[in-house]
Amino acid sequence: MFARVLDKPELTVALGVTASREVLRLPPEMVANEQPMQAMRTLRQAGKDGRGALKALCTSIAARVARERDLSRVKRVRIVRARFDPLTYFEGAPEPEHAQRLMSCPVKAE
Amino acid sequence: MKRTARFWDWSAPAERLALTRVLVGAFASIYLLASTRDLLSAIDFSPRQLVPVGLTSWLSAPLPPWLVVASVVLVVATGLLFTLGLAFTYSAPLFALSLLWVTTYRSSWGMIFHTDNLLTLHVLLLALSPAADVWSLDARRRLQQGSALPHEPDARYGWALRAMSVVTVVTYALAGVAKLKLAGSTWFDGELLRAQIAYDNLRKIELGTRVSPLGPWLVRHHGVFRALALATLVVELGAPLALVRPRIAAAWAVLAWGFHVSVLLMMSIAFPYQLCGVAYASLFPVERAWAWGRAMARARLPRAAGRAGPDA
Repeated sequence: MFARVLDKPELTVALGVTASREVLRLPPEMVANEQPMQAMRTLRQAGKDGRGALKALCTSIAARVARERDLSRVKRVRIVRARFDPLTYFEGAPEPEHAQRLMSCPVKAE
Repeated sequence: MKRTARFWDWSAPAERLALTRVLVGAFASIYLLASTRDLLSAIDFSPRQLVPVGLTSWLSAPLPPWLVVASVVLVVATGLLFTLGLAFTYSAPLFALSLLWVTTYRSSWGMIFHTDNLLTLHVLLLALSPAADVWSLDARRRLQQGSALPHEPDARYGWALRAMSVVTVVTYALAGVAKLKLAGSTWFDGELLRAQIAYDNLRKIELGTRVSPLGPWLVRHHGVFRALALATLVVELGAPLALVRPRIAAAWAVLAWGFHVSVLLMMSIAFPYQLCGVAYASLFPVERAWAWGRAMARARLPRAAGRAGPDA
């Protein structure tokens, strides 16, 4: 473990957007389960599989968000691919160097 | 050659092996019960995510949901039988194989759960040993039927403990070798470790999980990582020394435990089996700690002591 040489990794993440356009990070259990790495792989795999897989994942995340009281403010789910610099991230530059929106879908109230 | 033979032909009391079984089995049962939701979550994954590994390599599609549920029920049920030492001849191999199956299936979705490996290997070894000859429901039944319980240390109780200890130190040593193989001498300047800790914390934050504040804070302090990188290699490559003598084993186990505490504090990665100490049980005469605990309890609570602890 922890032996691989890293560069600037690309991450695919799930975000929640509120009515006031505030962007929240969605917890891993909204994507897969409580394991953040499993959520990361699920998002990455959907990104690799293309629009159909991304749309299906986005819809399933939105359905979970709709059931979550704490996330009732979230009106849309976004799946975004972003490239970060891990070292500058914690030195005052947490913004991604590059970000691309892969999919967006509405949260339908239950 | 003689040294190797002497190492494996090592006598241990039946109680040591049995108590190790109880500790490992109890840990595994609690861990599995706590992980039930995670183990079952594979039911909802997309079939495209399946990346079968090891025992599940032959799978071309995900298991049907009922089989995932049945596997989890089986592993939890046999785990309890293993811990209690009931029908051990059958329940132990069944538990070991179902644990191997369930943990492998969990790791077949693109993420390898390193946290499960040592536990599974230890259970496999215990399942092959006579770990329920005492301190088990099987032993209690044999006692009631008039059979005598083993009282003398014997090599048949020692080999599994030795093998568990060897497996433990090999897992650490391999991690150390991998670091040197993949990173070479650059590992020693600490920047690689710093980048790993930074990346791990970054992805957890971006994936919406809470992280311990220590890792992000420490990443800003370059100097610390040279010492941490060296300490990591000392623990990992020094692991085989734990097999030399008990005092070294004790010192190494404390260092290894401290290493896992640091990983938890810096990267929020928990290795529960190592953190609770059970992973290192095979290195120690655990039955003496039990006897000491009983003696202490007797001294303090003379009335209750007569009822405490397993008799069989």
